[in-house]
Amino acid sequence: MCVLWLDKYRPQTIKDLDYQKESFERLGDLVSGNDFPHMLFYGPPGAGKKTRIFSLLNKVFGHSVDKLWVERRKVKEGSEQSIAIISSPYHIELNPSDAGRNDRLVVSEIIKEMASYAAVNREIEAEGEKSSGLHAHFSAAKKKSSKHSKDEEDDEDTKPSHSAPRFKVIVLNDADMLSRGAQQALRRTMELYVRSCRLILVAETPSKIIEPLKSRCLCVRVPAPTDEQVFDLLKDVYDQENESSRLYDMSDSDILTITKMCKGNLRRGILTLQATCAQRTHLRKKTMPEEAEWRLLIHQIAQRIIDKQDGQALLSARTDCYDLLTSCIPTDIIFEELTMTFLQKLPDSVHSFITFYAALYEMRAVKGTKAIYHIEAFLATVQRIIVVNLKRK
Amino acid sequence: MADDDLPWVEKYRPKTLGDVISHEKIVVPLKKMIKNKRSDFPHLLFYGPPGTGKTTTVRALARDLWGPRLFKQRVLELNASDERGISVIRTRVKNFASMTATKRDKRYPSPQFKLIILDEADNMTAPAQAALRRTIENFAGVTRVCLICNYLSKIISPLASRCLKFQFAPLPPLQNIQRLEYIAKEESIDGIDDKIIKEIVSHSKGDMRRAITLLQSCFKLFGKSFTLSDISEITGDISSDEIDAHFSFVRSCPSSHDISQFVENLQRQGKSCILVCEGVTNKLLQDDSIPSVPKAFIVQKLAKMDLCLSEGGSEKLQALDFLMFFVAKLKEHSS
Repeated sequence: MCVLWLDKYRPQTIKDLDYQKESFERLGDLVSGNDFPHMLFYGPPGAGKKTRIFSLLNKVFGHSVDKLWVERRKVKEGSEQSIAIISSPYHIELNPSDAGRNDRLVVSEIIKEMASYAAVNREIEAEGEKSSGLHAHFSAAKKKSSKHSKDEEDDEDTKPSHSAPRFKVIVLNDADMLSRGAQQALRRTMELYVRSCRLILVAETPSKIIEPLKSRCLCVRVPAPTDEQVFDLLKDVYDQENESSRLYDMSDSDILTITKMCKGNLRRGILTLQATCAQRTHLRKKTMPEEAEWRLLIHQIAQRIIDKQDGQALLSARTDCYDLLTSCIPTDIIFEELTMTFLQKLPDSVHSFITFYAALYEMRAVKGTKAIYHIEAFLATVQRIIVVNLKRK
Repeated sequence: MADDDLPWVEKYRPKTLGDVISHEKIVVPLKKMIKNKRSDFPHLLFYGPPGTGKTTTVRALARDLWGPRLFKQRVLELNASDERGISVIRTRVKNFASMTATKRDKRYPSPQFKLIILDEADNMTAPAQAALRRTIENFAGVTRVCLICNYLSKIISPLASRCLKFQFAPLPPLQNIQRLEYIAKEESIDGIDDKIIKEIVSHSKGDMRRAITLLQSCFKLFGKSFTLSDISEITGDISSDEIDAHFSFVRSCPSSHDISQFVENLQRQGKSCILVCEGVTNKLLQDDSIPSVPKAFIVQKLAKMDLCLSEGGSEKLQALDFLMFFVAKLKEHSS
């Protein structure tokens, strides 16, 4: 019961993918040949970038990529900061931008080290293959579960037809958040260690990745699913869940509401679906699928600014903004959501002013240190725009 | 590891100066310097856009000088992934520079000096560069330095004036095409369309690495029959057809609601809004039916947007602002 549907229904192999299957089957063929290029996956959040990467890794390395462990590493000797590294025998996943300003160090220290010791790891694996007894012992020690024998069978099934690849894959999340310096540092690393490791960069937009990196990568665009696809998938998940338990009573129109709400973000869609189902059964409330609380709060702030243009309205917006910021809602999301709400609710004549100031203050918020000032400045400007353009006439 | 496993870019990287097909103006003097066997070899500074063969050339040069056996002893390669602060220059570089090399490989010229390659030198801090100044003069007898960078302006002038400068221009399309055809032949992809190779070359804009990566990924992904739109899909660029469609959309003076819808759609498809803005502006500049005043404003706006983005602004808001401005300017001048 406590399993997230998101993980439960996540496609494991390329065959299970629901949309864009063909292009990924081709990609799967590519990587299962011996030349696995560096790759850059980009697309909006919740479109399935990670899922696709894992299905590719699954294809190349078999099930051993599922055996994950997490370690924390110091960014630098003696420094307080550390980042989490998720690794399997064949791949490493890390998020260098977690280290903030030290991301260049992560690239130059940790990734380089990982890249250079991949070769040693390969020898162990090769030995393990020679004497399968050792291999079995190794994985048994790792798993220590009764599922182990089944895993072995699966291993046989999915074992790639060619000899196991002799490199390690490093998955870098949020590559577009990397500083220029860190991206520069990646350039030669990608070339020098190409024999022992391949990189997969994950980003939301390709425009923040520097050109020299892009020219070293195979770029793969992962678009968000269309509304129809989201609806079908949600319905599918719901039907499968309901078939076993018959607990829930969601109508098609409810699912459609969720589909509209999540705007192509499948992760959000499935989470909302599960949350709504859970609320209805466990709390016995007839709730409608709901927007996340922070979104509603942003809408409220916008509404208050539209209703009243004085210091009082600004002051009450301030406390709400603090709430948003302390609950770690990123500033750019707040700005985007505010802007979209204003655009919806205010007449066309003022739209260009609003987008102009939104772009301006958002940029300043990134450059500055206190986001709250810039959000307030934006709200105050919107009040001014309303007074001058709409009220005075 | 067998060479088969390597990406083509590495596999077909020229190993010796003789293999370098382009840049005669650079390769010929370098070859002469090798032949001379004298110790008047200068410090080098290579600059030029990415993918033009700067690193390849200097590595090929080093190989020609010392051969693969001595390569590791004689060459110190530092790039942006290495710590290159002032302390590293003071210790590591200085230590390496002050050693004298004696071993020789009889099959190669093996001159009596060592080579320090500072790749991506435009990322070094100014103090670190300044620390290099005396170092490279003091040890000029036993060490040569080769700086590699994209932008000459980022190298402090006292350092640049100590080096012999070579500019690496983007490769001319013809040489690019020849090389790609050669690789295609080696990899036994027969019957590849000339048009496709031309398209790949024009996409890569003189960046050889990009062209080769593209060729490989296209071939591996789509087999022999791939189309032009497949190429733009792989590069992450936006095909000219799409740009045309986007341009006619913004020309039709859409309402602000439509514009925000448009931006959201682009984001959902994972397309870069910024590339769309750029493409649309290019189209606008080519359109003679539009007066030049709005064009000027829009180009200014594009520049501002670029600044804001490099400061870390949100792509969505910037694109929204730009397109709103774009449409407003067009409206203003058409009425």
